[in-house]
Amino acid sequence: MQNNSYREFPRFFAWLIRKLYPGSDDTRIGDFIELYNNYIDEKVPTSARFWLLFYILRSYPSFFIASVSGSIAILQNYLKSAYRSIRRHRTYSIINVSGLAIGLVCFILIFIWAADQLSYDRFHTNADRLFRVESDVNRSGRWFHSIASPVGLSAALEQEVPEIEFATRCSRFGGIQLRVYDKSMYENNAVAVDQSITSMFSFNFIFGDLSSAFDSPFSLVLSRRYAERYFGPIDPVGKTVLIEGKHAFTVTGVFENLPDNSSLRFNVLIPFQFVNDHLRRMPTGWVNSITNYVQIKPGSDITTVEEKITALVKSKADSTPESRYTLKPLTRIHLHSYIGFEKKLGRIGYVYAFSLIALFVVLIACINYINLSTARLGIRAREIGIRKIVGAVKQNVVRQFYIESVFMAFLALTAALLTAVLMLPVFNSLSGKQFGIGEVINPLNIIILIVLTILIGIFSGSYPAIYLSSFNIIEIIRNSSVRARKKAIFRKPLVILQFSLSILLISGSMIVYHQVEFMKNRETGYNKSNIVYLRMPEEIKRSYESFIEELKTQPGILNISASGRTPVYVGDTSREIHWNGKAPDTDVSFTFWAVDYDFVETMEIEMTEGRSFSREFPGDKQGSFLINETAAKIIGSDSHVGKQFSIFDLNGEITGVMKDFHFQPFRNEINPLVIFIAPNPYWLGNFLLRLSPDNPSGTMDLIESVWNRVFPGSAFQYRFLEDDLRSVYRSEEQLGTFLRYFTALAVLIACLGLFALIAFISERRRKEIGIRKVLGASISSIIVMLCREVGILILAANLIMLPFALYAADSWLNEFAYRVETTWPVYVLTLFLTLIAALITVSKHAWKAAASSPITSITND
Amino acid sequence: MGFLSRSEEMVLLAVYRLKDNAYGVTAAEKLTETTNKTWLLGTVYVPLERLEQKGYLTSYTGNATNKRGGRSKRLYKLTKLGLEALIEIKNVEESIWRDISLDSLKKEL
Repeated sequence: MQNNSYREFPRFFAWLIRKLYPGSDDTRIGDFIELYNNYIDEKVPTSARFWLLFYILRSYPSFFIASVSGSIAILQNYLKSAYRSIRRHRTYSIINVSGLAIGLVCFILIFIWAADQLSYDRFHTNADRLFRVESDVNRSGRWFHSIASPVGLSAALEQEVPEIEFATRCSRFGGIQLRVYDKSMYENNAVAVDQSITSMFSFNFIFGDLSSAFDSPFSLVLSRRYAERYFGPIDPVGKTVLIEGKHAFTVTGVFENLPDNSSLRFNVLIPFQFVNDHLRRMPTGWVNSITNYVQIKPGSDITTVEEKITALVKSKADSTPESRYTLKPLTRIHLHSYIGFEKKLGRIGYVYAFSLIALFVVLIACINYINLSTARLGIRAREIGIRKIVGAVKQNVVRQFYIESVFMAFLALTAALLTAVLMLPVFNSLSGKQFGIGEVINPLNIIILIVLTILIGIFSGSYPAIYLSSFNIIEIIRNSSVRARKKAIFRKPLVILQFSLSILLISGSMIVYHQVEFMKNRETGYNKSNIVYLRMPEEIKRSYESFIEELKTQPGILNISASGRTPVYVGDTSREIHWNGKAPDTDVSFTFWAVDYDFVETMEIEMTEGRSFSREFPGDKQGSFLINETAAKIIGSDSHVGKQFSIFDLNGEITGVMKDFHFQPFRNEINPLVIFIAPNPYWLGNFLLRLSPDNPSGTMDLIESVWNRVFPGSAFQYRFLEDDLRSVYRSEEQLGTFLRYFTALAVLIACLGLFALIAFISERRRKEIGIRKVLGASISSIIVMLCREVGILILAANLIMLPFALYAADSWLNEFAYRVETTWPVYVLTLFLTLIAALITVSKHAWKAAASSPITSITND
Repeated sequence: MGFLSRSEEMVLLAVYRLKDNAYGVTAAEKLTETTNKTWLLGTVYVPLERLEQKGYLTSYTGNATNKRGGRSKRLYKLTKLGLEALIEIKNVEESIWRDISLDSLKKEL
């Protein structure tokens, strides 16, 4: 079959040929077209395209190999000489590679941690359109920020603001009692929501139907974890849950647990309307009281929406202080929240700080590399000289050193990846995360790490490469040691820089440790030991007094009372406060706390004025207040007892002043506080008991048996106050532990560098030391001479870093209302620690150099 | 003076044999035919380019045919240097092989 007509050649092939075969012009494409047509003429035309594609690819390897064969040969040579020099100087190489590897381990671990922090809440399909409504309220000229907004906002927004696609209320309310079959449980994590929530957040329903989940006002949606806790691993849709012993709810859906990197902790979802009607009455009207989330339509301008929300609330609310509303992107909540109770969430500051630390450690490791390679330049100089004589130009030598350092960096990367994977369990327990191997080794990480490794290689190779390649050949071959001595001048600043960074880390971790210990051990103003609190479920509140009566007479219980919040964090504040003689323009807010009789006695709070609540004064039940000293100062007269006082609709008089004590973590200052006897039991949430120090566990058994007798069927839950107080500082403690580990690694790397450096220096000065000894120097004087040099470096590093360390420590400590004030011992200690570490590091070589026989060191060359 | 690799030498010879019709496709065909091994286009391009760079070959643009989709050929021919190189190779080869015949080699097997 003969056909000479021109056939359409697929353009893709022309493109592929040009890509694969660099330097291809039309004539080459013509060659391929000719082969293509030959094939069509001789064989089956239909498979021609496959054949051609295959041909192009098959022909490529030989083209590639042929075109780079020269450079591969030289690359092989470079790698070979790198490998040989690594083997010949094993100690240096191990120090070099392990230094880099440790640096990389730090980097990898911090990197996956930071990546996790940054990934929070991004798993929602509409993550970039989800916002939380936040408010700024102007009170007497000061703007107060909060995450609260009005109850009626969501419904109004959906109807009246066109840019809002969905809006939902979201209110986490205290404990509720759930009964499943005959099991009774106390649930602290229930959230009241609106129907729109299923359209906004990406819930992955395993059972039930997403769209109709909240059709009935008595529907309940659970996370998988909670569904399994209540029902076991079955499909619970349609099953009944009894809430607070009287409301029958039907489970309508179960969603897959939200991932760890979700700042929203949804487990039990209940329709908002029901909660509002039957469980917790939310403030009506247009005051900021709950959280609202919105989803805006694509392309909407956020500032416009914010203005519309502000205008909307203004038009609805009759008389509120000036308010502004803003939208906080959901994805920023985890890292960028600075309000009240959200402080414990991870913060962007820590992400920055740790990223900086990772960079520091990597930098220290790079400096190590630079230091060691230049220190060894005398040894390498001859090799370079020979290469230059044989015909290498400067470019070749530069490239060789770059390739060598990149090669070392890759060795380090391999070691680092292995170590990081092995260290994951430790790291997980430190960070409280659940990282697996997949988080360490995944394509994205590997690409980033490879790029980083190449950068590290180039960075740490650059100084040796440029410096070593600039040698004068003749000088090298004739005498290699002249130059090497001179360049110690450059190495010293590098050692100082290394130690400066280590010093910053050491003092930083000590300061954090100090502050955490300070907060844990600081007096709270009351006796915090042996206080236990029991949750008070809703259904027993009416008869809570009978429990107190029962326990009062029991042995082992010194005192018993009850309160609304636990003393760990009391955060309810009110501005509706009046006292006799209050200036009309004073706008202050008092923290308020509902308690029961014997509260002051149970907590062992000192009274500075007046008396505490007592059953002997019937008036105390309604309208009697205790304030703390801070509040007393604000009220400001000489005597407070008997002063008329009111908070919202409670009127009465002040009966006493308590000494200031801490009812919030030490981050926060002591606010003015007012406590009063709960007007009705529903204000209370916990029993507070002071146990006698002997046999508290026996007492707890006793309490539990009483509980089960008085409140059969109600869940018994207790916590020791001291445990809770300690766990408040978990994020600071975590920071401290993290810092300690990374500091240890950084110091280790710096010491490794110093170790190799002193080995080098004492080797270089072998002859000098020999001559000194011949002339009568003692071993100790030589050791002192060698150590003095290092000591001066460490001193300089400390002096240079001091201002930075002071500044960093101060800006961190200033976040705490109660902080350690004297930090100078930390710096003195740091100085001593670094000096000792450095001297231990150099001692072995210094001793070896000083003790060696002068005859061998002088004659042996 | 330069060194020629084995494949460069064979490509040079193939171009000589092909006279006025030496370009990628024909060179690959010729080499496949004479060596009994498959030579692909990719295999001949690099030696052709190297030989041209070293001055053994020159190239010029030939006619375009329909079969080549209207694209012209890059035709190669030997330079004086190329011919000298072939002569030298031939000389060396013959002096190396002078006292060895194929039969005597086969006998050794």
